[in-house]
Amino acid sequence: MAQNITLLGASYSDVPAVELPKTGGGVAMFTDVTDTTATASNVARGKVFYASNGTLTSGLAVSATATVTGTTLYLTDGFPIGV
Amino acid sequence: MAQNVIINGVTYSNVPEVDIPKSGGGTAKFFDTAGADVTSADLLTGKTAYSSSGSISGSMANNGSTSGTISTKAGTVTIPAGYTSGGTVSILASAVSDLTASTLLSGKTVLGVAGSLTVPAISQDATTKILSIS
Repeated sequence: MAQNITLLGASYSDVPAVELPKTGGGVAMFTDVTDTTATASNVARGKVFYASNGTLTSGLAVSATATVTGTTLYLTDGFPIGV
Repeated sequence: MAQNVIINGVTYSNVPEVDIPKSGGGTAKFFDTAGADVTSADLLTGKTAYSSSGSISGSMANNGSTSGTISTKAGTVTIPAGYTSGGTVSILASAVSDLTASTLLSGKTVLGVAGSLTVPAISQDATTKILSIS
């Protein structure tokens, strides 16, 4: 995403990020994340991402579990990686 | 995450975000996303998020319901990698219903069903050739 901003009296259009010099050298980049569409349930548990409101968010999607009862295997909601 | 930055010669420590006035009013917020570790494979297809490398698009397949039926002895149901809303994998119902103790040889056990079927003894008289089934 990008924003139209005003800085020191000047307008800048479609700005996706702001770069600032770091104290130790190099550049720190600050990004507009308002176009994020992922929510916690879309991201694997144990991973973190920035939600559209700028909150550092942990993924909540759990791995699916498989349970066998009789002759049927029941698979729960989740990410069945490795099942 | 946060950064130590310099603006107009002034040092600011542990800065997680930069707020700048928007042209139309309000404030635009820009975030340091260096602390995010989500990758494309961790994110559902069709979704986007920001990670330490910037914007990423999800590549994890959304398989919806994952179900299947095993209908042959060698049959398998493969659970694909990705997201599932859940499901069941079952053995063909007719095969299960046909599997009873009386249809299975005594001494054999299949899927927890112990067979009770016995095979009659058959003998043949050497002279008369008459079969005797007991």
